[in-house]
Amino acid sequence: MTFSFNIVPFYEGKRANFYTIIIEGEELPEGDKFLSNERVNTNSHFNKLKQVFFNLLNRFGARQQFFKDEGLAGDMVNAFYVRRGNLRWYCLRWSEQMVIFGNGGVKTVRATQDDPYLKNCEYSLRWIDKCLTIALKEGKISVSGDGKLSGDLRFNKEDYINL
Amino acid sequence: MDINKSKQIRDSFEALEVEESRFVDNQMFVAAQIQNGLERKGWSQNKLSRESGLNENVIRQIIAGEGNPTLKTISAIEQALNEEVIVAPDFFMEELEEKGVIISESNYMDFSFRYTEELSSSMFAEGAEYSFEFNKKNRDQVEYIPSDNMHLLPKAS
Repeated sequence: MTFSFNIVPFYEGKRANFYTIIIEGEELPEGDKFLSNERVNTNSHFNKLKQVFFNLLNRFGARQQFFKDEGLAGDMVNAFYVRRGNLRWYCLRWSEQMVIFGNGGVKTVRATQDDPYLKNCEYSLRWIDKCLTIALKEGKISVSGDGKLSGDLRFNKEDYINL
Repeated sequence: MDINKSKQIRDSFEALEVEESRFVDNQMFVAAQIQNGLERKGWSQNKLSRESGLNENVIRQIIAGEGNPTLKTISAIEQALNEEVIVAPDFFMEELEEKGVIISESNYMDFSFRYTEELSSSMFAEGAEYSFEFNKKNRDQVEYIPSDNMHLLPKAS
């Protein structure tokens, strides 16, 4: 799965900076797609997710204990989740100070791979993780100690597809 | 990108009322405090389970901010870690002061002044502003006289 995308600011807090992704040709960033997904925002545990989200942003930082490690070994793919409501919000947890949110949904299957929609959310982030890792290595982007991303945050798939 | 639609979605998210917000906050405080305790000791969740006699799944749930542990469970964790997870602030502060660990803010007096000839000392630079903090208990002894009892903090320009 490959595509061009931009990283855009999502929420800025006292303890962390949250970013999201807008995929080329899409109207909404992935984070906003998650929040406006009716199956998500009518879930009875969505309000808990909101409280945890803003607590991470302003009080605790994005501590690993509040995320579930997903994806492949060595990548940054995680799920921000509320277990009881089966809510899964896929993201790249870069550090306690910086997270890039993708899309997600309500997990009703045992394995993410069994749900094409959630699988797509997770696999999209694997591609983004790959691009970010390369861009960071090549010095195209950088992350400050307080979790601010800088550099060229536009990612053209042609630049990364063969790397 | 539809900026207006994004703004609308985010505004709705921010405006969402959370009935159990205090409960969620406390779940997270307890979770973060226990995790800090584990990191300080270099313990795994499994080790805490063995030391506290609690089921590892229970510990995992609490540390993920998902639990609703009883006082008995918290006490078992505190005993295993040999540190407080929850405190009654009034009594905790008093206890710490007695141990000399910290001095509460009310025991400090802050003030600042500008260098003058009368206060001439090698400790001060002409024209610079300084603020001091010192313990009220020693106030009579150290009043206006720089000493080891005073904490000298050059003001950021």
